[in-house]
Amino acid sequence: MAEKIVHHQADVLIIGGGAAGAMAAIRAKECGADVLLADKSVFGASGCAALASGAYITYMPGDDLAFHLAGRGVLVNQTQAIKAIYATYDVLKILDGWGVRFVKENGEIWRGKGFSGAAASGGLAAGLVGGGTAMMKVVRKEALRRGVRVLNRTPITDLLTSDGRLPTAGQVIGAIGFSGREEEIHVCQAKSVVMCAGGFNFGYKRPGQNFAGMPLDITSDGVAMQLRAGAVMGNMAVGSKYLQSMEFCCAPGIEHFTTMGTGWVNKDGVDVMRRFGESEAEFTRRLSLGHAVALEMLEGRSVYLDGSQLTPDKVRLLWNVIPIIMQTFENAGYEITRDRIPYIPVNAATYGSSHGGGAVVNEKLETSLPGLFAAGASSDGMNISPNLNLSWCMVLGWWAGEHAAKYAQSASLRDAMPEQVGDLSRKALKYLNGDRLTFNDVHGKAAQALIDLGVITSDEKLTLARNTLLDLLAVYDKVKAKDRHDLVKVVGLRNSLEALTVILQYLLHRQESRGSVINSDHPETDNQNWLTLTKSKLEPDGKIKLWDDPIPRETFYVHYKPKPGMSMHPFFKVVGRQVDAPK
Amino acid sequence: MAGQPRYPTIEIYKEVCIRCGACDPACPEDVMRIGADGYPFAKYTEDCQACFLCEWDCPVNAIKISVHKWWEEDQPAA
Repeated sequence: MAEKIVHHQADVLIIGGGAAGAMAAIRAKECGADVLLADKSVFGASGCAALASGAYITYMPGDDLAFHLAGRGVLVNQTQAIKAIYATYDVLKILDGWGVRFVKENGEIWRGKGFSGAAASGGLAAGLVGGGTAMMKVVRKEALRRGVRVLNRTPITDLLTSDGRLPTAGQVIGAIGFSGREEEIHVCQAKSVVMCAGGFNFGYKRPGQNFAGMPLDITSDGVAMQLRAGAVMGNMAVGSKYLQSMEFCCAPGIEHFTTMGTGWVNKDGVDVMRRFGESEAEFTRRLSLGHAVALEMLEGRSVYLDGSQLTPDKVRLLWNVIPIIMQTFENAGYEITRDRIPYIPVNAATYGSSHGGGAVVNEKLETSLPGLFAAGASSDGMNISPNLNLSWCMVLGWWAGEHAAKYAQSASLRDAMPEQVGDLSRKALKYLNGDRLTFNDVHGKAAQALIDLGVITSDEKLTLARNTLLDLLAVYDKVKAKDRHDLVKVVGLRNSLEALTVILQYLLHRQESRGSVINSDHPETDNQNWLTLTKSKLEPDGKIKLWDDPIPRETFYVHYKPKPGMSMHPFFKVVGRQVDAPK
Repeated sequence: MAGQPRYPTIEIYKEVCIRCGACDPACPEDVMRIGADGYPFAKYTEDCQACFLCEWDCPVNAIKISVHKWWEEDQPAA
């Protein structure tokens, strides 16, 4: 192998430089740790955060706490959620102090109720001027100013363990990756590791198309690495549908339009949200928007964003907080207040900035593996929400950095086992010498499998998709990466497939429709048998074990008590009504 | 029927470029490379997701990303 092996040592290794990773790095550094951050892309420009809408959902003193908790669903650890809600304001003040620009009104930080974000209906968000892009530039500067060391264009491929095994019965002692530009393998030893490598989103970008999902590089690397290492995973059944423009890259923050005075209409100009109730038309959640679009698609219609009611003030505000999408529309020749813009829902399972499936973490953000912490969308976020937004990822990162630094104070560096370094290096680089399959071959088939899941799925469709992905994984060693740039994509796609097979296993296991998971075989949300959290773990025999943990009600139902029992999923309520309606 | 999906277009104006190299690290998708002559070029255009970060980070407006409308009329989606 012509590869040069580069060794690194740090107290705390942060994997991933998005919102959670950046905050973890800064906090760990403030707590006295020597910090190394490895980023598959470029710290500050990578992940969801840099492309995120500028909606920083935040508590402010005087707010009604119950409002912030409302609408987060029943599978939520409210004790931790309350702490996180308060902490969003602490982090906001820190960001403001660093010079992150928020939309202000009469000198005060402005908040809009329009910025609901994902499935949460209780969102009150401050607006980041220049979106996540501008915010991450400031945060990156703060990290570098404090002396955080950064490895850019260096995808971490696996965790290193004290027993040299994956899954491990020992502890996490570092991680290994490769350079996306140079012929280098990077071996990082650390006293503690914080996994912040994002969530799952399967980019739908296919040859010739100019749109993807959220950034292409959100390939659930963190989820997959933790799966392989044998960490207990959880919450991965919390699926999501996600809207994107037919024509362009994903539209982070599109739901923000809704209360700004826009609507979602079909080609006849009919408001598609009204079928789901007046309140949804007034204050659309991404979740119910997905349902509404699914129903229109079922009936053979597309859905369009209609911004004809936007006032010039609101247009200016949107340029401030979602500049990427506004520029996309303008650039393509759409006039937001005049033209309807087509949208589709996408099955994204657990993914990206707004999801909470990943390694199960405790209140110290520790995973089940000693030495490994997780934050952001690679973690289950302590179940503080079915979906993690930008501000919650930052809060979790901040906490993880602090606890990882404390852990490192009483831990020591361990040498990686040469056999494990050798095995994992070969595993990462083998695709350079692959066979006949290309990235596009596998990606195209996997994307089709996801599309075939449909907006309304079934056990049969879920099984079929899972089998397709398992078949692709079985021949994955034949994939050939053209160069190191391609290698990054090939390794990422493998992680996506591995994570997705497990997500589908969770969805089959749940036997219900919940949130954006609409399963025609199980049209009811089952709060009788399923007030539980599904967890999983990779066993040494290579099988994924799934089980259900009861929800500790004393911590989960402080402000919001779910009704035990079966209830028809909102989507089927509407479909059912329609079926019964006289012709 | 819908039109044909199209990649974004990346234009680099060499006569304006000051060869500062800011566009390479600006790209989350690793699309840009700096050539031997110091000028950037889009090596992996197919991976461009039109996020505009390179265009916005260019101090002299030497990069133009264009996305293209192609959806023509309503059609039943899959």
